[in-house]
Amino acid sequence: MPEMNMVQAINDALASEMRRDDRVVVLGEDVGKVGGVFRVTAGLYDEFGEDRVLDTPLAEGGIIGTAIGMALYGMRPVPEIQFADFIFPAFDQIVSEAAKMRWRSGGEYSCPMVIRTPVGGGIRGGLYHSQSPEALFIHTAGLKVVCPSNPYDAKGLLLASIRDEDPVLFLEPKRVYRAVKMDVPEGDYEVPLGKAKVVREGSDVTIVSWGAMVYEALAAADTAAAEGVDAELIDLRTLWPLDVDTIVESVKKTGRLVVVHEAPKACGFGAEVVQLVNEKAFLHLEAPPARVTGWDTPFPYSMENEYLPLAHRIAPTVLETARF
Amino acid sequence: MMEVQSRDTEAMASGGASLDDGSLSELYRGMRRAQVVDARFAALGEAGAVGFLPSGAGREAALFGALHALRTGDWVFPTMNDWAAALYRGMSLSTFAARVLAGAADPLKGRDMPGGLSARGLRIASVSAPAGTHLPHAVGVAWAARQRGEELVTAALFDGREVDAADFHTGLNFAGVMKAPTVFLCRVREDEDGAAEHAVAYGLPHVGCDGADVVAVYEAVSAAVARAARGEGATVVDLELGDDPVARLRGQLIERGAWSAHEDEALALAVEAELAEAIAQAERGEPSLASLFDDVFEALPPHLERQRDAALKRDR
Repeated sequence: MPEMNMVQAINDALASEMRRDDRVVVLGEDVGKVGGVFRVTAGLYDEFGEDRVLDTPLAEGGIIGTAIGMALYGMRPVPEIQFADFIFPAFDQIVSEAAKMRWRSGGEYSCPMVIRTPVGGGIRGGLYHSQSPEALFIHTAGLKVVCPSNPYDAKGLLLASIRDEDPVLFLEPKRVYRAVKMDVPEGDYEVPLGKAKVVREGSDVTIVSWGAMVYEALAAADTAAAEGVDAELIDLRTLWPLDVDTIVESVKKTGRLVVVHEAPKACGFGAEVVQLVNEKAFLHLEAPPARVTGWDTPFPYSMENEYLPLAHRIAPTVLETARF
Repeated sequence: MMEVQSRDTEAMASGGASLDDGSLSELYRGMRRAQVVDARFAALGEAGAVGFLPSGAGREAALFGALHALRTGDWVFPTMNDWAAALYRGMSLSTFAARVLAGAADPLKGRDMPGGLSARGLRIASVSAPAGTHLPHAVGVAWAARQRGEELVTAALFDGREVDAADFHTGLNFAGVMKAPTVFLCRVREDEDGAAEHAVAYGLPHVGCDGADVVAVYEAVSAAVARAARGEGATVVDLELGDDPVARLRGQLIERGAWSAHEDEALALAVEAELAEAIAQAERGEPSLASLFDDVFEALPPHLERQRDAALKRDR
C-alpha cells in the first residue's frame, strides 16, 4: 500500500474517479496546465485533456455557476476554489442556486457537484488565505459539508462525495496537506458521508474536532493523559449532516464536552454541537460544555499561532472541564 | 443605445427563414393565450385570490419569437416573467394553474411564489429570483452537452436591468472563453442600454432587433441559434420591447386576412373558460407538511427526519 500525503490522496481520488466515470470533470483557476495552486490536480490535464480539466477565468461565481449547469445536464463537476477565502463571489451561486435546486424544482433538478477548497490557517497566509467558513454553508439548507483530517479519509470521503447526489462542499485543511503521510489504498474505497470517527478512546472527557485541529486535540489529549485525564477524541469528518449519535454516545460516557475549531467562536459550528448535546444528553453533563476556537477577529498574519486553537490552548480547557 | 457593430451582425440579420401566415397565426394564438392568462391572474392577484404572478405583458413577441426559433431539444433558462415559455412548450393550463395556486397539486409543492417555474421534461430550467445567476448555468449546460456529444443550444432570457448584475458579465465571459453554444436574449426597455456594447468586451457577436415584432425576433434568434449549432459560439441578442406586440401582430394578420376579430374573441373566451376550469380543478389545499422536508437532500437525513416528526406531532 503506497504512502501518500493528503495532496496525493486527493489527486489519486480525482484521477481514479475520472477514469471510472467519464461524467466527472474538474474546473477552476489554474487547475489544468498548472495543476492547481497546491498541485492537487497535477497531471490530470495531461491524462484527461481540456475536455475534462478546464482552466477557467478568475471569477468564482462563474466557476460555480457553470459547474451548476454541468451538473444540471447530468455531469459530475468538481470545481476548485483556490482558497476558501475567495469563495464569497460564488456565495450566491452556492447558497441561492446549488443548495436550493432540488427543493425549489420539486425534485426535478439536482446539483451533484463537489466544491473543493483549501481551508484553515497555519501556513502564514494572513486574513485572505486562512479562513474556515464552514458554518456559513452548514447554515444553508441543502449543502453537505465535509472536512477530512488525513490522507486515507480524504480519498475515501472525496470518492463518496463525488458519487453523492447532492452538492458537497469539500474543505481541505491546507495546514496538513503535506504534513501527514500514511498508507492509502490504491484501489477504490469510500469513507461514508455522515459518519464521525473516534480516533482516541477515553473515559473522562469528549473532545470534538475536525480538519487540522484534530492533531492539536490529539496532542492536548496526550498532555491531559500525563495529568491523569483520559480524553476521548472524535474526528467529525463530515460536518453536515452531523453524526450527532456518535457525539452523544461519547458524552453520555464521559459527561464532559470540549469542541475545538479554527473558525471564530460566535455562531461557529461548535455552538451547534454544544447545543445538540445539551438537547440530547443534558442530564449526563457534569461540566459546562466548552469551546476552544479562533478568536472573534479576522485571521492574523503575524500571530496565527495565537489565533489558532493549538494544543497549548486546548489542554488547559480539557483539564478544567474534566476537573470541574 | 450606443452603436456597436460586429462583423457578423449584418450577415446574421439577413439570414434565417421567415414565417408564413400559418406559422404566424399559430404563434399569435399562443401569444394571445398568454396575454389572457396574464390578465386573468393579474386580476385575481389584485383581488387577493391568488399570489402575485409576475407579468409577461409586452414581452410576448420577444418570448414567442425566440421560443419558435429554438428547437425542442434546446434548453430555455427563463426569468420569473417568462412562465409563458412553459405554455408554449406544452404545459397544460391545469398544471400551470396548480403551480400558481401553489397548493397540493403544485408540481413545485408550494415552494415558490407563482413566478417560480421548473419543467425538466420541457427542457425549461428551474427559475430563481436573483439577477443573472442563470446565465452561467446556461453556459454550463451548453458546454456539458457539447462535451457529451449532444447537439443542443441553450437560451438565457434576461432583462435590460440585469446587465448590471455580476453574473451577466460572468456568463458572457465564460461563454466567450468556453465557446459555449448559448444565445443570450436581453429584453431591452426604452430607457435601458441593452447588452450589445458589453458583448464586444467578451468577444461575442451581437445583434439588435425589434423585440415587439415576432418575425424580427424569430429571424434574429434563428440566426444566433444556427450559429451556435454550427459550433461558432454564443451570440448576444438585444430584443427591444415596444407597445403591445400582441395587438400589433393581430393587426397585421387581420389586414392580411389571416385572422379575424371574431376568431380573436372566440379564442379569448375559450382560454378564459379553460383557465376558469383549470383554477377550479386546482387543489386549493396546502401541500402536505411532511413534503416541506423532502428534496432538501436526495434522502432525508436524520436531523430533518426528527424535525419533520416534530412538525407533524405538533400539527396533529
